[in-house]
Amino acid sequence: MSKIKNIKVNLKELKSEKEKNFKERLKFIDYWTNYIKNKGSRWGKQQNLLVDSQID
Amino acid sequence: MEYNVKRGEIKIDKELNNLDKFVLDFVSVLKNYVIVSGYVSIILGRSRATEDVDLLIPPMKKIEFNTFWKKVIEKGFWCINTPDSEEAFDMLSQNAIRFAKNKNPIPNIEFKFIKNEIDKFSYKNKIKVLIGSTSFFVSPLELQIAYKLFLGSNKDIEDARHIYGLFREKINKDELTDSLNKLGVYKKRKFLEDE
Repeated sequence: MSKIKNIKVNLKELKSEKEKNFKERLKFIDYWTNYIKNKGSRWGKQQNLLVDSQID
Repeated sequence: MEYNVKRGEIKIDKELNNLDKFVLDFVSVLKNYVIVSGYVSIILGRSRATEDVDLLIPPMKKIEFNTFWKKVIEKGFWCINTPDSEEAFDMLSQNAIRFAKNKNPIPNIEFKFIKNEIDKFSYKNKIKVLIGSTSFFVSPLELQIAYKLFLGSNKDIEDARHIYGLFREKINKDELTDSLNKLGVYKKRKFLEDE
């Protein structure tokens, strides 16, 4: 098994990926809010499935 | 989703989920409360779950708290911190206490007395969210957005953007600016929408 101390990590690159990922997540927030505004009540069932999946 | 700003009401066209019912069950024994933080964005459609719901209540005297305690225990809730109402009441002067239902510790209600000016403002200016014949009281949207930016994690920023994106046209921009300034996060308004 290889050891993590032996790999080279480019932290600058990782941070850049982290920022790109966050920007992409914010774009999805915009997509979802538009969906809520334009797709009537369809969003509710989808959200309920997600929320209810955590509760017995 | 319709926000009537004059009436301070948001109407939501959806079925209640189990988290909504859990919260409703709890707040039904309270006359006065306001829901703050993560659940506000979730009840407004945010696509995520939560392990707790934050509730602020005007400070109670011990007698009033004991009455509330009996009612909430009868409904099947239990206090995660302590089974003793006296101890729970004492804790409230320092911290929040948490109530869960049946045998599961999540989800739970984080129950806190109103302490600071932000809490008081949230309570005094609360708005009503209507789902069918049921309703919840939540903090004003402008303050909620600013507070989420103040908390500042990616999740919190996403919550803020969600609320702003939904109600961009209805939000009081002056009130939002004042809220952002009050919490020292005016520069973070860039996260609310792409320029």
